[in-house]
Amino acid sequence: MAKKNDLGIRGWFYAGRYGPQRYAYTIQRITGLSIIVYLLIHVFVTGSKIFGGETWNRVVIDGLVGNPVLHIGEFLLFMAVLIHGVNGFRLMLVELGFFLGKPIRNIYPYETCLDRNRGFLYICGVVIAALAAVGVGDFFKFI
Amino acid sequence: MRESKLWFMHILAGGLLIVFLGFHSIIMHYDTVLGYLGLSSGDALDFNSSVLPRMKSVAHTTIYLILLVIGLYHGLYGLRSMIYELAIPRGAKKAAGVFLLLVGLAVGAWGVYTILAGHLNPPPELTAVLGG
Repeated sequence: MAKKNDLGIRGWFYAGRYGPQRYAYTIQRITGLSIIVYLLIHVFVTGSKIFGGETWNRVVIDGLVGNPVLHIGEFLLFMAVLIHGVNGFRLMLVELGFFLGKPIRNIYPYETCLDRNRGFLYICGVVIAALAAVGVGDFFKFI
Repeated sequence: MRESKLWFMHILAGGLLIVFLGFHSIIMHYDTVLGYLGLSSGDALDFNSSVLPRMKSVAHTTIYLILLVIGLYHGLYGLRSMIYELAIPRGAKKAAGVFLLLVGLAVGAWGVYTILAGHLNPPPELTAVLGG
């Protein structure tokens, strides 16, 4: 019989023996939730363009871009999209069977596919860090 | 529709989002880098020089429509999956699923309207019609 998910939302944060991949899963959920909330708002905010340049400037330029707190929020959203996208690409490849390795006999010390595709997770981390560095420079105009 | 098909569409939408949202993010958030490459068209948020030309462009209109549909599907189906994993009554899960479907349809309808209205009848003509 399947075990019930009694941990509920707390289960997202409990990595147990699953290690870094489980934390990547938690981050994927948090970034996903923040992006979908943003998307629903984004559709209405950017929709103001159909009312003309004056409305656009009042809603987007003065209301959002001119607000330093929201500018940092926009950067956090950019980071969320970056992390969700790169990690999502990793999950897609793993879902399709890549980086799982060939089946092996279950001999002690046990090795799981999680051990075998952990390197790919770290490579994705490096890609995220590199793109984030460029994004930081662009957002805060260091470059 | 079978859950496996919905899940496959979720993954497919995710793959397409990487391409289209990546394109969108580069235009909106890497303008300094694009400038170094000689590809920048100026301030991406300036209404007259950037927003209006994007509204009139068939390529941008198409990309926005694709982004809207696959973004809403991927995001709301993902949220539904999270709710379905929780230990709550089956009826509550179904109700949440229907609610998210209605949210998706409502936001999607408004999004499609603004994208198409902006493309087919860009301001100031549209402003006169809507009285904005």
